Amino acid sequence: MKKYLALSVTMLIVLYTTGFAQTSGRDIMLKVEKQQEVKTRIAKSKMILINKQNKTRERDVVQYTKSVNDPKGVDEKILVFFEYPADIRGTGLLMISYSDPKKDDDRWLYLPALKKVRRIAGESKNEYFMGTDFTYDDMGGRLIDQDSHTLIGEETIDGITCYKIESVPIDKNDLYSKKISWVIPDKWVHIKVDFYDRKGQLMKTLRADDIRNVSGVWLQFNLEMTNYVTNHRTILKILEAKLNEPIGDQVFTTTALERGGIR
Amino acid sequence: MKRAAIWITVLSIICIAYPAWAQMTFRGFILNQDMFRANESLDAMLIRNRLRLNAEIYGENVAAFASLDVTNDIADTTTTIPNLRDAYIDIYNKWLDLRIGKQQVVWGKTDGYFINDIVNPLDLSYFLLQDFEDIRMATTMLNARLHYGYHSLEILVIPEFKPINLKFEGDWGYKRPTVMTIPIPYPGQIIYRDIPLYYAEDKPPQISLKKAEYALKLNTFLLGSDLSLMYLKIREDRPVYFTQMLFDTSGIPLQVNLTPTHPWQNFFGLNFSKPVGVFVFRGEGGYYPERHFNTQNQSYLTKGMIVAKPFTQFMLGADYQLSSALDISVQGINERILDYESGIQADENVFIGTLMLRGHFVNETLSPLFLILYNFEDKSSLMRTSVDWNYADNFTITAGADFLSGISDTIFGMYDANDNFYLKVKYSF
Repeated sequence: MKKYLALSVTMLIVLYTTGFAQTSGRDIMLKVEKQQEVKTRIAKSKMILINKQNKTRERDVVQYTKSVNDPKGVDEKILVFFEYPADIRGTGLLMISYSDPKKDDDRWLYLPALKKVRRIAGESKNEYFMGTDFTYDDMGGRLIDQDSHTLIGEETIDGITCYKIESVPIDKNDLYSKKISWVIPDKWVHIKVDFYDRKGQLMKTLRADDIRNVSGVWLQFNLEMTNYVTNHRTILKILEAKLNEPIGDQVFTTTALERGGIR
Repeated sequence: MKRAAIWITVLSIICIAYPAWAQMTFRGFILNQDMFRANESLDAMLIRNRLRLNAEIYGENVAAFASLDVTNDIADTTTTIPNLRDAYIDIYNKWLDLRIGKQQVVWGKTDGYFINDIVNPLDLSYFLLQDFEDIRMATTMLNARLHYGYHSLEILVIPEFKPINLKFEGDWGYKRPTVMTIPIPYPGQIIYRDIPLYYAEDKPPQISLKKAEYALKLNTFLLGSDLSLMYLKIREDRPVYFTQMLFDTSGIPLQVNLTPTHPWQNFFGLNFSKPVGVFVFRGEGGYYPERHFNTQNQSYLTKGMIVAKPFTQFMLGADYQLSSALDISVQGINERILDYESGIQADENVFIGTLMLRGHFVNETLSPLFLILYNFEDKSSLMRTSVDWNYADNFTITAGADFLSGISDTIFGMYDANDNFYLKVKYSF
């Protein structure tokens, strides 16, 4: 009887703490998502690509983002244009993501040399974006419930005590087997993310700094993704960010893509 | 005194225009391209130096763009040729885009072939081997695009007509016949005689709004698919020869005069693309109720040996990412002359398959490409291979080779002797 009672109590404690941790992990990631929730965002960025010989290439990018959450299930619209270097200037990418995690993004790519808009598979979220170490998924649009989040503890990074969250993709075909994120409490932004491949090996690390408050939102103005597999790094510096400025829906169309930019 | 006045005028213009110049951006590239025949002779088929200069200026809801090409082709022994490629003005607002001037308009989803992509004529002076952005010739037109959400309606008014640019001499000259073999009945026998053909110059028609070409295209996004429907009232870009036979006093044909014409035709087209999982399916179709062809059927002598038949084209294709570094695209293309008659100087049925493999390696600094077009009817083919090395920002080196095969009277086989390898070095700014 005593043994049975002890086992029951132990099971209850385990169930309670596991449930609490899962809820806490998701709650934290939800706060991160909500903290950065804005109606619109216009960001000019510079990406510096560094290979293992320390040779650099640069990409200047303008990104327009609009949160939609409309009855058709559209969650977010993103339009990205390359402004530098000259040989890819005018290349544009339009992405429309949906609230339903089972529904693939709609994506179009405009190549100025071909003067054509090309439809690309939305399922290819794991593909690297234009030679950088960021995948399309890393660039944005990933829904919170595409992963299962668990708070696994706290750790100090750069003198800041952070929540440490383990996120495991629900889709077993995802590029990553898990991600470990370090989140600064009260600012609710990532300061570091480790990405693990399907074999559980550390594949990439994202570090963020130069965190600034823009119109009440904490943004990471400097991001560095290090890819240990290819010995390649990408530094993404936000040069300018404007939040909640009106952006018409006509911006997120293939017409705007073909026009080659927002003037 | 006069010279001083000229200098003062020029400097004044520069000073007044300086604020506009200051907002203008200049971009372009410098390119060296060298192509050699892939046989023992290794003779130069193309040694080209090129400067492209693009000027852009933007204001509020207006923009202007001009593109100048200066080409110096040593192998062709031509002099330096400047060419105004594009020059247009954009006026736009939330629901209307207007583009007026010399421009290219690309409709269609097919790689390496032209079904819906027929607004601008093609420059076939190097067959199909021009760069994609150079193979279409810009034409002066009004391009109006009304858009509402995901839908748009494009309207084109094209007063300028240009035929396709074909060379008839040199390595890439189109091998048109020089004689016509005609049966001549003699008492008790038929003798076949080769009658010389004389080609008249292709003179484009006078420009007028009455003779302008028109096009409409409706674009929409439906059930996850991009869909376009179009109608064009255009002239045939390729020459269809009005044939006149000259006879001697005894009724024996002496010579044949061929005058290039570009008959009017109606074109109905549609295209779509739809992703399904990891695939993207593309399709394109075109229908001419009457397309004009030359015929050897003598019963059409009074009609200049030209016959009009319904003509269809369609393409079905699929794109797939084999891996994060490799894309594959396949296409099947069919062209068919309906209600075919013998004597028509074109194949009743053409089926072409294409396969394209494109790689992205070393963070997209190394991009190999393999493309093959194979004509299943006449067994001719075009194979293109190349590697782009993005050595540094704005600087690309391309090495490649083209192989054409087939018998001499086939579309690819006629250039069988032009297998080549090439190098391009390009700096963009």
